[in-house]
Amino acid sequence: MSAIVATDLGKVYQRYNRPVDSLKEWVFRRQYHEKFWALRDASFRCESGEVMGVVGDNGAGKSTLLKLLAGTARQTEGELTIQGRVSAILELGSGFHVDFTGLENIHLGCAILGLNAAQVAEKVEEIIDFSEIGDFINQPVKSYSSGMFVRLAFSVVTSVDPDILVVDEALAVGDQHFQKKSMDRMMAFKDQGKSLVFCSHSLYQVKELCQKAIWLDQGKVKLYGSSADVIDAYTDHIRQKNKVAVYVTEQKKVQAEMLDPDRKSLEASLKEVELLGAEKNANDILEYKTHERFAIKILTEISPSLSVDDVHIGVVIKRNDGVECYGISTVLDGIKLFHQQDQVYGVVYEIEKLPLLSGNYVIDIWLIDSSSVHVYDSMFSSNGFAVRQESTEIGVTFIQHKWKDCS
Amino acid sequence: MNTVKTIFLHTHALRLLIERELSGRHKGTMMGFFWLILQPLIMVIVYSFVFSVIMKVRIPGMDNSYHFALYLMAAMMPFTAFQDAVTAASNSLFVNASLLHKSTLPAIIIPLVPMLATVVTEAIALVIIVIAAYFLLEQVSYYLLMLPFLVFVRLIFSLSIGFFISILSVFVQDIRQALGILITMLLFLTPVFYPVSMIPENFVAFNDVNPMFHLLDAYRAVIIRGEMPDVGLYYVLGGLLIFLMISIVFYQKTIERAKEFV
Repeated sequence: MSAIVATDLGKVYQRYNRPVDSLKEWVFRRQYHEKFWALRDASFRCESGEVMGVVGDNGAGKSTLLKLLAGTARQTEGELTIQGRVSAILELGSGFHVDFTGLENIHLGCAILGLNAAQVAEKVEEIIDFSEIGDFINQPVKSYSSGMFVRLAFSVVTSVDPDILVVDEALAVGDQHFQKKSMDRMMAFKDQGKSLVFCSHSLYQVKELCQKAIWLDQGKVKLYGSSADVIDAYTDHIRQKNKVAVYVTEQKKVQAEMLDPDRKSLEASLKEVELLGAEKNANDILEYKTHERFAIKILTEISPSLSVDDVHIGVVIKRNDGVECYGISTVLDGIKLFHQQDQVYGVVYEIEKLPLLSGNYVIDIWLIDSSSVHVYDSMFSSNGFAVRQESTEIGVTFIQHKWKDCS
Repeated sequence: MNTVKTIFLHTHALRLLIERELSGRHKGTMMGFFWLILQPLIMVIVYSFVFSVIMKVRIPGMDNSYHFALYLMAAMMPFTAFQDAVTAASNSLFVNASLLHKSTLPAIIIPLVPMLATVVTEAIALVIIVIAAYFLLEQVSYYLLMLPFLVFVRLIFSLSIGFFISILSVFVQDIRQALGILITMLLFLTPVFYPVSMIPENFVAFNDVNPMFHLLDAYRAVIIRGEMPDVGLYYVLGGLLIFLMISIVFYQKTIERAKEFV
């Protein structure tokens, strides 16, 4: 049974010049506003026992989506079917009354979630225990630290036995100890066959915890599917945004060509660069798998006046955020270029087991002399490719390692 | 009807909020809940002293000198409750913005809380007046049993205006400013400080259609005169019930819009 089914969900915020315009609109049935779609055409479903992650940049519509799920806002269009009791922790101290004491807020919070007096009385002890608020429970919550606030809020919303739990980034406020505790509790929920909708900026967490994920971008669902796919794609997007001066898709013209269209003065030039052994993915980018073979064929043209021994190739693999992952040259490795035909020499740069983890990458290629100082020709940020990993380890590359007994 | 069901599903939350509304007002004061009793008590004593001992105001046909003070109080108490209810309702959505936005508490509960709380304060005030009436006028009548019903009518009156005002206050902020003046006008246009008999003949017709007059006069009937309330009260109740339904429908239809401005 699906716990949540959303079909073409949309939420529009109207912008009015004055509040009274909204009332006039309702009375006269005429439009007095500008529309702003915070969320549109969002369709997804979340099964019982499933954990769903929501990711996206600021202003992408994450909070709006969670509000709709939590029931604190109503969708403008589309349909949302929810089976069971929803409990939500949105923003800091959702729905807490700041003048009320912690205890009063526990009572009120539970009552709002639909518990009667007897049921609340049963839970109070457990909630206070779990929140670790201690004596502060009789103080107004406005005197609480943000950590205490979140601890109390989390304890309340998870103690009422919800069928669906909606959790915002708010949890990040708690200390390590409480984060661990709350994570354990959320996992226990999942194991009990309850659903969790989870929004976090910690992409690693989302990838680890969730089976499915939604990537929201400017109010639309950019990608919806298995969390590994979604998070990898979203990570690429973030790196892309953070890049310093890297061009990924548009291949830069070979620099030498721009300097000297006739190539007369060049003694050596890059002729052809080709990625080998990869298939194009859905986004029309060549995709490799971590730990599988990666290879790139590089052909150069060397004028007869030049000794082949004095021409070398350097390859730098860069991630799309500008991180140089690895660079090596035939000079350093003491390799000579192989003769192909006429003036053409070349080499295949092969990595038997590509250690790179998920991401989008580009390649810089340098044609250099044996001193590594003189540059005959070069090619920047060309041959973009993607890498996808199967497991959920993090970082740039796989690093060979062992785990050993301490003794 | 759905609204009634929603409210019943949240009775526990409603009760907690009302308790809080009442105790919160006196939080930090040394006498706490005692203020609920002290406030009307002091008013009775001061009114009696000023109007009966110093000014010796008398109403035609009644010779007990404490009569005017009681006559005034019997109408003032329910009017004050009405005033408190409507004023609190007009502020309720602003004061409870966080509950409105961040919890799943049905929005209809929010103005309902302070308005229901006035039933408690009014009940306490009425008990004091009834006791005072017993000692000062040496009379007690079975018609006092009508009081809970009158409180009910007074509540319906407050609710029907209150739900309406709470929403309008969001859209037109000026309403909160104007409300105080409007309520004071109503107080002076209704025979509270003066008997009906003093109203010039040309204006009697206006008074007859003033629902507040019928309500307050009913309080006086049972507390002071010891008689059945005038039949006009039932017309007022009928009209108010219809208005209340319109008011609730208006509230439910516009609250989502109003939410965006608090």
